[in-house]
Amino acid sequence: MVKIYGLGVLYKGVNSATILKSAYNLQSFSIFQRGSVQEFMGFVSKTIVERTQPASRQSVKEGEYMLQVYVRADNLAGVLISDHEYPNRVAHTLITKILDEFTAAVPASQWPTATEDRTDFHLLPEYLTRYQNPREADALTKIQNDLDETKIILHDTIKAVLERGEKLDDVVAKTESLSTQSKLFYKTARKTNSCCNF
Amino acid sequence: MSISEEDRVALTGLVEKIIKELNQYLEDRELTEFDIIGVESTTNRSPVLYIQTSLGLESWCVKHVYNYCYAELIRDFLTNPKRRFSRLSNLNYKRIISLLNPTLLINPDVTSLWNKRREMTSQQFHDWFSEMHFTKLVLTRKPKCNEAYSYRRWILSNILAKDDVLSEEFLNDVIAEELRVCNKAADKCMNNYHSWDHRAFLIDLSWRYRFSFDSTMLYFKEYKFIRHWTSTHVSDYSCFHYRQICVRILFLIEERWPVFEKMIDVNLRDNFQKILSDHMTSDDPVATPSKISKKTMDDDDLTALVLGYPAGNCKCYATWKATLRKLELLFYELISNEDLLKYYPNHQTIWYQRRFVVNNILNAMYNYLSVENKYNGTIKQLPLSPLDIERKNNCTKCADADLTEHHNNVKKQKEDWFWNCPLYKVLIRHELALIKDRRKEDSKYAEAHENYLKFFEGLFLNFNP
Repeated sequence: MVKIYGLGVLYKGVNSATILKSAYNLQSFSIFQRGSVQEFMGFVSKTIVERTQPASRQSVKEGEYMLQVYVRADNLAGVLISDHEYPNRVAHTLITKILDEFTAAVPASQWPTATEDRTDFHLLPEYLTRYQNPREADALTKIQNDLDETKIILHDTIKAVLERGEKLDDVVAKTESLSTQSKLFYKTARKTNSCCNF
Repeated sequence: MSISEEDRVALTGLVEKIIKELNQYLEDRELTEFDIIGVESTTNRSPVLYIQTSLGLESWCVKHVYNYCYAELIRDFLTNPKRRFSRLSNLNYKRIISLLNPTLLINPDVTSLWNKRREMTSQQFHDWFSEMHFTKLVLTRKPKCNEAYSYRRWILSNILAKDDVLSEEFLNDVIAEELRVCNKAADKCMNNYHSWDHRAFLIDLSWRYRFSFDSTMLYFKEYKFIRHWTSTHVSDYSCFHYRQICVRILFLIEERWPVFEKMIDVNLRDNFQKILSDHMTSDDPVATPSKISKKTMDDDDLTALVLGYPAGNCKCYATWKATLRKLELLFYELISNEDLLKYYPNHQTIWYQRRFVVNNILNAMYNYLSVENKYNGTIKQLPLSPLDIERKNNCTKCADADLTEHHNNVKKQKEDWFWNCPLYKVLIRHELALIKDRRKEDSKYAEAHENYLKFFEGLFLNFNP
């Protein structure tokens, strides 16, 4: 399956990251789960941006999902959550493009203090739909040429991104940005994923 | 852990209340979704939730509800010989249904329970359409539940068997609804074999009823749909298999080809000619570059070009045309497969799909020339089927051609022709070029494909590039 679940623009502050704008495609989740899934995706985006060095790109595989992160030198970051078949090249080109457009629309002085509802940038949902099928969205050759020199670092699991000794389970348990409902959702999702599900 | 009598009574009361509430929702509302929601602690409110058109059950009560319902069903209605064979009365029918609903929603993989439903539905205790609705709900939580699909198929065949004359509109509606269900299930869960299997069943079904409604349009639409779907689900062989089914059914369609081309926005003939002109050299016996560069060739010329056999307005025309259409479609499949290969390297599924296409092109060719490849560098001439003989006898041109063939040491000639047939050569050159190109990025699978062509299809044996 080639699918994008979420797109986000974040600002990497000194200690923590904040979401400036995000859009999600949660059609395939049941209505009861959507809230938790969205909350969780926001949380993971923040976590990953906090643990990515400025001016670098990462692609992190976690289960059937793939997280694509690009933090620019000026601390503006883009995150794309897709499944693991979404071509990395296309994902990173899209992130670069979104960040460029975001910079043009929102002045840099506002980034550190902006919040999601006050940011005036409405292109994400459109990109989310358009890039569901990357082949139709952009010609292959164009994509290859577009991507800049920054190398994409690939990780097979999110463990590699977390600091030494840190576990995702602990990070989830400690955080205050997730509701108890969402934490429980994470726990049960873990459980169902661990048994064989044909 | 045993619980006290008091607790048991309280629990029974609670479970009965939940069952009642669930059934009420199932009866009253147009539900579109059911799910179990992970909640750990019990609060003092009902665990049955209802948002928009979705029904939810909190996870803490699932165990109790399921055990209670399942135990009563098995004890009283499925194994008790007295009750088992006694006639279903209206009263215990209601009880059974109200127990079956929650049990199957929670765990739809119990065949005995579905069979109980079948028994009751066939005795007219339950209406067919509400059953369809119920299974749809089951599939929103467990999109891979084969029991639910097979139950749907059972109901469908019952509904359709009831009426002798089916209105076109009714058939269209029924099939559209099934396709919607399949779409949703396939989207929820990748590699959903059961959903694609169900879809394949619908193709079968529509073929059976092809005289009652416009099935051709359905096949066109399905092809267009699956072409798009496969381009975003590149490692799901189930959906590629369905694509193969769609291609095969299109072989049988003889009419409205231009409509189809317009729908999928491809000129199949141009595409075919482009591949031919890319890979034909002036050494090929029949190839005349001037001919192939002609804008759009007509059927006769193209058949003569790729498969030999002089064309004319004889009665065998229909066979030629069918073969030609088949080849055009298959070569389009070949091209669109390449697109995917280049965009998504290292996906075995796409390579497997290619095997199907190549195999079908070769078979179309063997059939047309009525030969059998012995896979050791020789071919065997097959005896003509009675149908073919009759066709040939009725056709003066073919009879003439046959006559001349007998004079000129036919067998040898035909064999030579086979190995030099432009179609055969073009296919091999095309595959070799692709393999060479993909070796850089996708070496493992490219090599596997080459081996497949060499050892399974027996290509390259008598081939001089």
